[in-house]
Amino acid sequence: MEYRLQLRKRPFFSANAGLLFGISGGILFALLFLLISVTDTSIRRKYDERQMLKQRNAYKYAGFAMLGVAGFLLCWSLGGFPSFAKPEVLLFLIIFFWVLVYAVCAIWNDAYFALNESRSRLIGIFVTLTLLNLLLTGITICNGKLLTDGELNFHSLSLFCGILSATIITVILLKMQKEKREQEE
Amino acid sequence: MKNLKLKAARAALDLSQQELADRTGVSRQTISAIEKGDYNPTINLCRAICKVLGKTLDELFWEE
Repeated sequence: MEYRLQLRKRPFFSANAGLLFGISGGILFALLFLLISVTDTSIRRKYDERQMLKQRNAYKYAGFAMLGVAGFLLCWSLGGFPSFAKPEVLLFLIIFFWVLVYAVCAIWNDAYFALNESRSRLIGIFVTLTLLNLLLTGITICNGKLLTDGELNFHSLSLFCGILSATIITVILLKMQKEKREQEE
Repeated sequence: MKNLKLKAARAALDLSQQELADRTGVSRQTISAIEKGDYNPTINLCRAICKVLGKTLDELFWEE
């Protein structure tokens, strides 16, 4: 008698149930957190009028930066130049530059930290994020998984996140030094 | 244009920028920007500052 092992293809929802559950749970958690932060005035971040004005400017500059990066990538692709990253990484790069420009503009114009926010706690969070992301990047490079066919793959996202948080910390420290000098004057 | 009248009024009451900022509900950097002339406050903030410093709008914010 011949026995043959038959692999049955699992239905879509069965195969991706875990992923769907995770995404739904994440969205629910985010909505709950948003609801609490909006209704609970003690934890809602408070900005003064000048900070809100500077944030609007930061959004504007970040928008222009995003357009610039998207335009550059479009021209690069249309020009027939070899791609240096996978499509998901290129999309992430556009968002990355938006966040980077917004954060730098907001921090430099003293519009990033709310009136009721603890700066040292936020710096601690960014330092932790930087170290974690750089550690992940180091592991990815050691495992040789950073590139696929000569293109940056999604494993490189931790590198960009590390660069982002490191840049934010640098700008915060430079700003703190500038303020200290101004106060001494 | 620098707002020296505001700076003088604040100094007269021996208030630091941080103290004035706390009493008016804004950040220290906003008070600093107003004094340096880098930011034009709204009328509501002007009134709040005048109330804390015990001055009128003309005395603090009118350009001569």
